[in-house]
Amino acid sequence: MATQMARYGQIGSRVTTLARYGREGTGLAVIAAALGLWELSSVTGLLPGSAFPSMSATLPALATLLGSAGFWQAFGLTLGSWALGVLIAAAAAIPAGMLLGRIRFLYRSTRLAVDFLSTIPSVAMIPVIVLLFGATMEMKLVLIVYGAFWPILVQTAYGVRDTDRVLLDTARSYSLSRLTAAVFILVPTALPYVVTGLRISAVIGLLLGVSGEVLGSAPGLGLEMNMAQSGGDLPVTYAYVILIGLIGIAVDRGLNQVSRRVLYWHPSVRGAAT
Amino acid sequence: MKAIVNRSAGLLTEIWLPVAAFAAWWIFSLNSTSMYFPPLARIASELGNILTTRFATDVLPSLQNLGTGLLVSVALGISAGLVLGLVPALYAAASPLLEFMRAIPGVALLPIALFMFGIGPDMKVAIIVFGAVWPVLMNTVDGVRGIDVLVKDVARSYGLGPWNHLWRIILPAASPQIIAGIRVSVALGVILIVASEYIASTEGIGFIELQSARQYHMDVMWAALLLLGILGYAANVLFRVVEHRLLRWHRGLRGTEQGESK
Repeated sequence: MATQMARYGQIGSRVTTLARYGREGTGLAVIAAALGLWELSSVTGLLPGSAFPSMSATLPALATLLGSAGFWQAFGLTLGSWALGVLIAAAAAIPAGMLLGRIRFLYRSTRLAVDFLSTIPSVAMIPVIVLLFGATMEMKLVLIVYGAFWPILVQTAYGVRDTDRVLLDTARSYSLSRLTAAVFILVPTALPYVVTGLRISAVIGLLLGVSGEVLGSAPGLGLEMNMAQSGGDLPVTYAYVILIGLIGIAVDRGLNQVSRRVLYWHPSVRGAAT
Repeated sequence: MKAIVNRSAGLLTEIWLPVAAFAAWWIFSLNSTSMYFPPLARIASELGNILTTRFATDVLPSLQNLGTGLLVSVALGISAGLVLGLVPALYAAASPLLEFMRAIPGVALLPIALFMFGIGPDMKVAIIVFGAVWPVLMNTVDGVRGIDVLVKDVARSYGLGPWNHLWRIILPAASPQIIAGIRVSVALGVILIVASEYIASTEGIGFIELQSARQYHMDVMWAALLLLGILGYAANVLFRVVEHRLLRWHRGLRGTEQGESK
C-alpha cells in the first residue's frame, strides 16, 4: 500500500514537472512570437520608426549594455540604494508598527496622520528632497525610505492588532513570560502581515528609486535611460526599459520565494503547495 | 449620554495629533526666516491663490488627465481581465508578457511616452493607463477565475444567456476583487499624474511644484505639495465611500455566512 502510494506520488510529481516544462515552453514560444511580431511591425512600418526601434536594433543594444561596465555600475547604484532604503524603512517601521499595534491610544491618535502622510504621492516629494539634498544617492535613499515606510508600518500594526486575545490571556494564565508569549503568539500572528508589508514596500521602493533617477537625476539606471532618451537613442532607451522591467520581475519572484520560505508553516503557503 | 461622551472622546483621540501638528507647524514657522521652510501662514495663502487664480489653468487639467487616465484604465482593465479570465488558454499564453509589462515601473516609461505621444495631455493619460491598468486587470482575472464552479453550473442550468451570465453572475462575483484592484490603481494614478507633469509639461499641479522649486518660490512649492497631498487623500477617501456603497451586499453576505448579526 505504502509503496503504491509512493509510486503514485512519483508519477504525480513527474506529471507536474512535465506540465511545468510545458508551461515554460509555451511561455518561451509566446515571448518569441511577440519578438517576431515586434520585428515584423517595425519592418512593415506598422510601428512608426520615429517612436519605436525595431527588435533587431534593440536587442543588440541591450547586449552591448550588458557588456559595458557603466551599465553594471548604474545597476549596482539602483539595486544598492533600493535594498538599503527598504532595509532602513523596515528597521524603523516594524518597531513603530508594533508600538501602534499594542497601544490602542497611539493607534487611534496616529491613524489620520498616517493615512494622510501615506497617501501623499511620494513622487511629489522629489522637488523638495532634490532642493534639500541635491541630485544624489542620499536624495534617492530618503525618497525610498519615505515611500517604503508606510506599508510596513500599517501592516505590522494590523498584524499585531490581529493577535487572538484568548491566546494572550491563556499565555498569561499559564504564566508564560512576556518574551515567550511574544515569540510564540505575537510573532506567528504578525509575521504574515509584516511580510506582505515588506513585499509592497519593496515594489514601491523600486518604483521610487527609478523615479528618483528619472525625475530627480540621481545616479542609476533611470538616469542612464533618461540620457539615452534625451540623446535620441531609441534602441538604448528601450533596452533600458526592458532591463528595468526584467529587474522588476526578478524582484517580484525573489520576494515571492523568500516569503514562501519564511512562511512555510503558514496555512496559506501550505495550502498552495499541495 | 454616555454614548455621546464616548463618541466625542473617540473623535478627540482621532484628531488631536493632526490638529496639534498643524498648530505647532503654524506657530513655530510664524517668524521663520529659513529659505526652505517658510511660514505656514504664507503657504496657506499661496494655496488659496493656486485654487483661485490657477484653478482652470493648472488644477483642472491635472484632475481631468487623472480622471481620463483612470477611466480608461478601469474600462480596459476590466474588459481585458474578463476575456483573459474566461479563456484560460489565452491567459496562459499571455501571462509571460503580462508579467513583464506589469513589472515595468510606470515612471520608467516616461521617455517612451515622450517618443510616442510628444508633449501634452495624451502622453500623461497614456502614462497613467500603462501604469495603472495592471492592478485592475490582474484582479479581474483572479476574481473571474475564482468564481465557484457550482455557481457557474447553476447559472447554465437556468439557461442564462451569455449577456445575463456576464452581468448577473461573473461581474458581481468578481467585483470585490475588481474594486480592490481599482483602489491600487487610483493610488498609482495619482503618483503617475504628478510624475508626468514633472517632465516636459507646462501645466498641472506637479508643474507648479517643480517650477516654483526651480525658482526658489518655496511657499508656492509647499502649497502645491500640500495640494497634491490633499488630492491623494481625497481620492482615497472618495474611493472608500464608493467601495462601501458598491460592496454593501458583499459585506452583508459574508456577515451572514460567518454567523454575525451585523
